[in-house]
Amino acid sequence: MIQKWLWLIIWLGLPCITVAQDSTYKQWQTRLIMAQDGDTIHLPAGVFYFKKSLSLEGKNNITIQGQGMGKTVLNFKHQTSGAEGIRLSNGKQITIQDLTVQEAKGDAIKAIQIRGITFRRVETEWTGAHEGIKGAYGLYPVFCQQVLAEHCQARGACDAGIYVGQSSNIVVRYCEVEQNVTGINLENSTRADVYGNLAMNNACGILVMDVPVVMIDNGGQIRVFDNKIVANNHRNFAPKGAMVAGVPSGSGIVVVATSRVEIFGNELIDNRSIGTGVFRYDLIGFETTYDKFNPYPSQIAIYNNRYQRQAVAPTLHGKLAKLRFAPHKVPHILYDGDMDPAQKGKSVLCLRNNQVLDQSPLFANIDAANGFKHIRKNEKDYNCQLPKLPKVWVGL
Amino acid sequence: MNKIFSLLLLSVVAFVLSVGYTFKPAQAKLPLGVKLHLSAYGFFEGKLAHLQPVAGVVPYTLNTPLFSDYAQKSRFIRLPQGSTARYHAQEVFEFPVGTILIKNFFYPIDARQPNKGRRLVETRLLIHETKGWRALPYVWNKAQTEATLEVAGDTKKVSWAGVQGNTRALDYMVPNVNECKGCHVRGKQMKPIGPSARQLNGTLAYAGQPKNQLLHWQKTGMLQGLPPLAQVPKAPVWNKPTTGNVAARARIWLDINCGHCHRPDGPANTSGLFLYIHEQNPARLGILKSPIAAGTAARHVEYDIVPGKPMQSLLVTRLMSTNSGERMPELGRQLVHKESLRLIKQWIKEMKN
Repeated sequence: MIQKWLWLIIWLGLPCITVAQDSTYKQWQTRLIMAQDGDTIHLPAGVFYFKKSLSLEGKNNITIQGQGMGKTVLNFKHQTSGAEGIRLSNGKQITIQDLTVQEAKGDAIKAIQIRGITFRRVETEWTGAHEGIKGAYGLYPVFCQQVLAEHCQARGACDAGIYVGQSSNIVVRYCEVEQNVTGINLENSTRADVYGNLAMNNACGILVMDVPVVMIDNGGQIRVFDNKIVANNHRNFAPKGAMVAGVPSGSGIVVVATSRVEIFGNELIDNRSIGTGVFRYDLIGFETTYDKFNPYPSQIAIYNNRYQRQAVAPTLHGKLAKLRFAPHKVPHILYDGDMDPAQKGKSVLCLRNNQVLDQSPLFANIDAANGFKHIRKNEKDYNCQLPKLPKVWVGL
Repeated sequence: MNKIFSLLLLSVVAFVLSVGYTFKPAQAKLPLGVKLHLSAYGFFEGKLAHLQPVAGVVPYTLNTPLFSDYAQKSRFIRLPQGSTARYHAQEVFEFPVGTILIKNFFYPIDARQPNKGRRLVETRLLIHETKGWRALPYVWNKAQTEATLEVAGDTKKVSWAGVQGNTRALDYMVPNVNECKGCHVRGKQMKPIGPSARQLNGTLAYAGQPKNQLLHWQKTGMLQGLPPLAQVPKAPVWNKPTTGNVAARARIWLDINCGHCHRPDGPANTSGLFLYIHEQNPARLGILKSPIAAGTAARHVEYDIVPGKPMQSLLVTRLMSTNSGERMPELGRQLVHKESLRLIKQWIKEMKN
């Protein structure tokens, strides 16, 4: 008899949980709408389910403060509206820190048109097997200036864990990115320092790429240094039409079409296909005839890195599939050899002091323009130096 | 027994929290000129739900409107007394400070029997203040006697009988004020989207008398700078083939449903895909353009538009999707608009390489 009453109360109470969720959304969204410049919005600990995106729009000097990664958890698996979990737009000096965003239907956190955006101790993830591809970008600043992402974690994204697009003055540091298609992906962005990060078990650890037909045609002045790039041999589970679908699984650091990039002081371990790759756009991306876009990478300095891999076969696909290397003879650094005619006489690629801790060759020019016919392991031809890029400041 | 107790405790706690966390908008101080209830603006006389405008509140329609999950709309404009809007050939007119645009969303009870009445769901206001436009969503009560401001938006269950007799149901989402800005923005400024020359250039009955809207506005002193009507652009009606060919009707449909974001100064300019009426460059229109940041929507397609191949075009996949991370437009619809999808597919099918 008592049991029957208990069950009745439970069945009455459970719908209230739904009401509680909907009113949590309303409460939090109202706070974001009513926030005054200079406010800190404190979010409590707990797991909160949302059906709609939360958005902060047109505000300055706001901090969204959780109780910690894994402690303040925003879960969007029931999301029916909005293309991202959290959207931050049109503002200055916005900080979001100490929280987790899970299972967004699109991107986890999008920041657009913000000058001064900081992600600190923010975790984004999609869990579960990747049969049904999920999500897109974990952190997604685009059209921003003064971008800082530090001590963040990104997991399970079918495009990039930490993505930065068409932005300038960027620092991504001390982050851990794993099980994404690309761990960290910079696209058409200018002046960036990416350092001290751990990229492990992604399909590609760090990708620096320029793509055509967007408002900022080409990026550059990117430094990728002191990162640990380990075992990025995850299957590439990107959607077919994604820019990153063409990046081979087993890639450490790949540069596509971007110029003025420095890659130094990194440890690249057990990336089975490409330790470091430097490629023209259409070797990885799709065909394009867009005239405002420069598809050639140039002024790429690769120095003081340590490479080591196990003797396994590479998993190259797409246009690189025809490349054949024996498992213990896969060169760590691959350059496609297709030079920008406008760069004739200039240093396109400079290699110095890179250490190889196994039996594989350091480098190969894969002669991509001629169907890989004349592969040359001629790193001595690239023994040069390029002017050092300046340190990036994000004004913090 | 322990399990039951913890479930009980959980539901009691949830009940208490849900009661305690209800936000009361009346407690927040409203900005000047913003009213908590729609009736307070005095736009309509008689029963509020009849939407009978008072003098100075002028109805208007658009040739090809935005699709909003089959909601029907009743639009009005109120200019401050004695003021005029200024004509613009390409963009939304310049409206003076003090202008209010009013857009009421409703569903018929039964689309086959208009006499059965309708259910008003929300009314959106765009108020032109000195600092710029402000968007305000008002949600109607069940009794249809009042609509109340809900800055954080709302979700309402709606259902109606469609023209084919089938019942359709939907969790209708009233946007929050940030979501309003998600579409109603150009550069950094909030802007109206609908009332442009091409969209207003059509006929509306005023007190039973059909007149061209632009001529009526000019005649009643609402609009200055109107050139001879023959020189004014005129948008086709997307589902009336006599008003324009497939390409023209597809382009205007994309303009009003997508072009406010997908233009060089719109919130989707990051994609480089421009679908507004003025885009002439095929690459920027999406033809053989690789998608940017499309996420899982690009799972089977490689380009935004493949001429001749609608099902290989991301544009079509996005319009067909009901997944919130993949569908387009991003906000404002949950259902697929089958009728316009047919038009867009036909447009792509008829494209030559």
